[in-house]
Amino acid sequence: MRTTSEARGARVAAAIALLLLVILGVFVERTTVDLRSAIEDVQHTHEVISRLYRLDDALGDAENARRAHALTADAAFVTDYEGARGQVQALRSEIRELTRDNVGQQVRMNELDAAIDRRMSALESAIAAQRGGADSEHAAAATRTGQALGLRVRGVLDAMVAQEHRLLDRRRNATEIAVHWQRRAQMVGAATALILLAWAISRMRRESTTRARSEAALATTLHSIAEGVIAIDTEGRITRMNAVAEKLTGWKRDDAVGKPADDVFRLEREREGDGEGEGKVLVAKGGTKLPIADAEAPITALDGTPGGSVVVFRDVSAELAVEAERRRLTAFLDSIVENIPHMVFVKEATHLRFELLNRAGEELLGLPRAELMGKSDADFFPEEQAKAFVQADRDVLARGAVTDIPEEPLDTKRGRVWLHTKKVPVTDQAGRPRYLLGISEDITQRKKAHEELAAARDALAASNEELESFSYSVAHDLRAPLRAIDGFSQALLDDYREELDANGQDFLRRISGAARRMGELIDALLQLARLSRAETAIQRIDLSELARGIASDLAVRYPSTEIAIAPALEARGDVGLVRVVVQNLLDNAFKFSSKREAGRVEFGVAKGAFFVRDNGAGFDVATAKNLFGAFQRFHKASEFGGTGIGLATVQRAIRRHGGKIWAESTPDKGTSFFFTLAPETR
Amino acid sequence: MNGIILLVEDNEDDEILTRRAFQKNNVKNEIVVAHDGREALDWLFGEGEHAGRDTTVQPEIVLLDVNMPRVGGLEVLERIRADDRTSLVPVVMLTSSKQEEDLVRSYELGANSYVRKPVEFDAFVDAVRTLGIYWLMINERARRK
Repeated sequence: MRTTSEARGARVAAAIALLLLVILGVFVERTTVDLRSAIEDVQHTHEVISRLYRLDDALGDAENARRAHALTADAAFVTDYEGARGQVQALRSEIRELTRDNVGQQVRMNELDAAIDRRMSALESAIAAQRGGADSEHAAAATRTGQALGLRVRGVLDAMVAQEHRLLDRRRNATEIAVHWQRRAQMVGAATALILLAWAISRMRRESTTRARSEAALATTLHSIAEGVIAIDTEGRITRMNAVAEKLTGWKRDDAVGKPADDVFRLEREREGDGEGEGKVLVAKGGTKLPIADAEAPITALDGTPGGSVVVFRDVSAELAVEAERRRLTAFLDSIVENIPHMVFVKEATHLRFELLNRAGEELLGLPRAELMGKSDADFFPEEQAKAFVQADRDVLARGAVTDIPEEPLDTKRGRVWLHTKKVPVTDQAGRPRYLLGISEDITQRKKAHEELAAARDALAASNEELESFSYSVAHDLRAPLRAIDGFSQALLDDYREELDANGQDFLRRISGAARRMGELIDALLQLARLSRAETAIQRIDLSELARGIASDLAVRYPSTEIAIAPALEARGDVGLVRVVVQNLLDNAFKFSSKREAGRVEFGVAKGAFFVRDNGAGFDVATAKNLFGAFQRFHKASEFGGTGIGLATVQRAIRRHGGKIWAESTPDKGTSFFFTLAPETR
Repeated sequence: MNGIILLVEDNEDDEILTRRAFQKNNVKNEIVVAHDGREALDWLFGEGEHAGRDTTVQPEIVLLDVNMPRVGGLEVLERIRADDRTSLVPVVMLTSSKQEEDLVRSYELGANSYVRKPVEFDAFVDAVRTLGIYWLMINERARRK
């Protein structure tokens, strides 16, 4: 734009300079004409003046001729006079002719004519009188008259000469002024025209360098553009193309320029695409096809005339690959979201309208997602629930932290479902919340199962309570009669011993013994029942110390049995339960080795477990499948006493610790019981 | 050592055996037997069928069964401890029950001892003897003036 306005300025300046020069020429021409006429005027005046002087001379000659005639009366002087008179007449008519343009001079001319006529006639009458022979007096009078008339002529002549001199001065002045102004005007005009011309020329020169420069810039620009550029003239022929266009089309510029654009820039619309400039395929010279994107723009000259067009295009195969990868990735992520077996939904943060819902969500809500998009909770769910959801959403967005809602009810078309929902605020780069992401797991089934479990647990607790009160009455109600049986048997033996024979006394002792065993049995059963539900307090236990305490009691009952307890045996467990374990196992060991002459009981650690070993009766492990069941006996009661629930109790106590118990035994050689008090770690 | 022993026992067998055990141990104190908690409270506070009893006379020791019809042993214990006339009387819970709850509750309510009646009569006799020696002879009880 700038260069165009400069160019226009230069052109206007040049035009003005030319116009000025023309005006100047006309002006000079005109003043030259004026000057020439002024000079002619001056010459004219000079001519008038010189004739006036010559007229004066001629008049003087005529006078002199008369005088000479009068003195000499020589007729030759009359001839001179005639000659002078002819000269006077000629000059008079010349002067009249010359001063015809001047009214004042014409008036004086008339006066002069009249004065000259009278002078001349006075001269002629004097000559005539002379010839007639007039006296000298007459001649003197004629001379006086002649002198007066001569003076008169001279006066008029002088006036005319003076007039012509004034005229001459005036004309000379006018000419001088004209010459002065002409010179001025010429100088100013020429100077202005020169300056304008110089400016215009410099402008034009600059414009031409600018144009050359911009041409170079255009060429460079064209070739450094990373896209293909082809310029086409109004005829549809190629005028320019850059290197990228050469490369993409396969055409050399020199070959392409002048060719119809459609031959070089061959397009096929093959590729699928929906945007402007998309989906086009360029067929290069060699026939290879290339996906491109192009844009065409018409070129319009400054004056608005169409100047062809420019096509800009680029190879989009890399972009297409990126786009395809992006689509693949998007589809991949979409399918992940779609296939997550929990409801996934996204709401925009402002109005909390649904933006996304996956398949599990559709199934859960019983709503197609199309129905949900752009709407909010209030459009679908009972008012109270919708309010709660919206409140929770707002809280999550305000806090900006993931929120876990362990349980929330939702009434859907399929009925009420329970959800475990996590809500996540999704923020933009500036940290402003943009979306709310929700993931809801349908926990209806789990909740139902949980409730059923809770009901079962309550029922179990109730039945445990029943069992407890049953145990209580067993303890109390069964023991009292047993005590009576034993007590009164004892009373009979004490008070009526003399009245009973040995047989009778033996019966009473058996009654008493049976009652006592039953008492023990009841106690053991109660202990077994209590073990299952007693609360445990795990602490560090010195097993060696515990075993020593128990063994010292047993040693009194079984004096023939030796006991060896490994030192520093330690375990973690509930003291009450562990005591039951050690008590029962040592009890058994002492009991079953009591028939040996040298009974031996050991308590120690082996095979990663504690053990209690005896060298007693032993048993066949193969037949001892129910070793740890209640009321399982492997020996006759008459042989070894016991309730038959000791090992069951031990196993239960060990299981409460998560431990294990097993036995190794050989009949007549002895038995080892191994046990642990904690779950296996490896 | 002539104080009264109040035996609260609903089981007649146990009553007889207890008396026998005291007898075997030469405890000669007067034994008052109440057959349930109601009767025991009436006797202690001179109410009901024992209205008019001189309640300044209180037992040297109360042997109290836990499980009884009408009013249970724990309630009787509570009432004994709540009344100025009886609050300082030693109470030994004498029961067949070994329930942990009863044991704890008894001590919470201010029982002085908790003795489980063994099935074996010999052991029972031993227990009674020990009780008698301790509470009637060794122990120095507090009394209100």
